[in-house]
Amino acid sequence: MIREVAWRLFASEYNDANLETEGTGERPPSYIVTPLGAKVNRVFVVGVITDVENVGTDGQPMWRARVSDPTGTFHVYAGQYQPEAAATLSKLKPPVFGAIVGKSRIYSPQPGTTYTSIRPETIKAVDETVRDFWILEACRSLRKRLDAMGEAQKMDPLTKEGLVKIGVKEAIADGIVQAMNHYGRVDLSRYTAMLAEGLRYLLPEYREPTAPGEPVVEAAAPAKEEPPREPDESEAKVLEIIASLDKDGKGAPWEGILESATSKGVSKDSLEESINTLLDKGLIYEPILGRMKKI
Amino acid sequence: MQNAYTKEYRGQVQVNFGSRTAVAKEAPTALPEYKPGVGQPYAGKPTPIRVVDLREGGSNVAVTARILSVERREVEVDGAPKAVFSGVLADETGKTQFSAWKDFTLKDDEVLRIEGAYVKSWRGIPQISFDERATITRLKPDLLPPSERLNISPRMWIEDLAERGGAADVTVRGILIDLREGSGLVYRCPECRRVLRKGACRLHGEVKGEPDLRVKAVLDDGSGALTAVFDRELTEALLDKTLDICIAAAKEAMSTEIVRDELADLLVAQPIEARGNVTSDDYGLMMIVETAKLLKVDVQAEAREMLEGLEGSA
Ligand SMILES: [Zn+2]
Repeated sequence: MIREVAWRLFASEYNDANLETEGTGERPPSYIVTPLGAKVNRVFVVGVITDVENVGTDGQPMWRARVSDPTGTFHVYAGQYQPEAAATLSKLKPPVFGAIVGKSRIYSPQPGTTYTSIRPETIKAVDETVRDFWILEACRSLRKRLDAMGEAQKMDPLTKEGLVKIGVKEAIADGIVQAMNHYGRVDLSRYTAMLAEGLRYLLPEYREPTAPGEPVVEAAAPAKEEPPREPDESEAKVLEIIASLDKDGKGAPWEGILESATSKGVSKDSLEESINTLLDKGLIYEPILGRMKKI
Repeated sequence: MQNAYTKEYRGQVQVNFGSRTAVAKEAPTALPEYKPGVGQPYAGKPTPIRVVDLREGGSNVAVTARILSVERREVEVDGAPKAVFSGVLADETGKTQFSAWKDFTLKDDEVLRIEGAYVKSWRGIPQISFDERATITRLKPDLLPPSERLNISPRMWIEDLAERGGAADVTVRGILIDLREGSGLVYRCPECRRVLRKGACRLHGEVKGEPDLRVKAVLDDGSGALTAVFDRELTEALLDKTLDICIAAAKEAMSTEIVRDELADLLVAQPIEARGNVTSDDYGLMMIVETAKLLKVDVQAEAREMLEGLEGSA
């Protein structure tokens, strides 16, 4: 299995995303597709970590942190099964510059409402140099997508092959076509402004003097609701299946869960949705690839 | 096969079977036995290709390149000794190992057109081979830049390395986003050099391990990721500490984790430039790092340039 690349992208683009897709293969990875066509499974973000809080219980901690970049705020959740990341978070003294590598998550409590977040794999306190370099990389990445999306909007009909022919990489071309199909023709000027904002942030001639480590301007994003921790009906069914299949304590194998769920009338799609939600709620975790375990 | 169709893919003709293709079994004697590779004559004209575009499985290709080095070796083929002339050749797009299975009296620095070569991966890196089926034409030496200009390590994006399936002597810039298990102070099996887990070798069981230092890190450049392996010498340089000092520190802390933690502190989230051979297998790409340095980037200069470009085009 080829390791997923870690996308550098700004919070504002990430939080605009509400499309989730799946790759191929035995255990297809899931992706969040942004309006500019970034197909994100893993992210690498560097920003100012603020508001670290245990939103779980003492017995089942769930650490939440906000990570701000020049455009907005990422929401990071680390449960007891991201032990290293959770331990790092719990010891941080915010505000502090932090680098986070993690998996993209999207949570939809009801139709029309989606929340994006990050499930961290590693978290590390860093210095301003690392953060500034990240902003530059995020800008470069954004510009690439803006250029490609600009070309895509001129194309009629838009095809992946057409994009590849003009030099867009296949992986990006794929995301762009999916984004266009889902979001339609997005307003690129908003993202061009975001790019300029990111670049100006790096330049002293545009920058307000701030002490290092001082929290940056927070986008006036409304406080996001906590995902409810109680499982719903189909999630409860899936939880039960996972518990019953976990005979050796190493977790229930994915194939077994799928088989059992199908026989109980749960479709593959809704099974995956339930599993993602259960992961988000911190009610199950993946001890090793391809196995699920109840917490 | 009936109603199959052909397509060109990266300069190679491919036969494709679609939904309208009918497939039926023939008697095994319907065709003579197939002998792969050497000896099968090529049909048609060779396909011109740049060194950077060489892909495993390519056959009857033509390259125009300068020989950077060549040496004669004796190998055994089917039990008989055979001479092979191998070395490195390059064009303006990159360099590659080659093997010539016939004595073409190749010499350092000469510029050639090689027609009728084939591409095979060796240890996960595609390289070019040619034999008596190939035609060699000697060209004017000034057709390509001099050897010292070609003999550099080209900077490449990881997505291009993934597409290409590895490459010899390339440079990658990215961020070390994670340290893999088995980084830091490790103990190796004296028999097979495998890293021990809990004092035991996977093959040789419980053995007295020999200490070593290494880093296995995920290097991600935003286009793709590879596993970068740093040997003891490089790790000592990064830590600015010798193996002996690390062993002493681990003893005092009663854990080897202390070395790993120090490496993580030093390396994770840092931009670096690494040079080495990149191999490719089912688990992805791996770079055996030859040289590495922490990257210092003039962020402001680059941001200013990008902003000017943006305002200029608006
Ligand atoms: Zn051994």
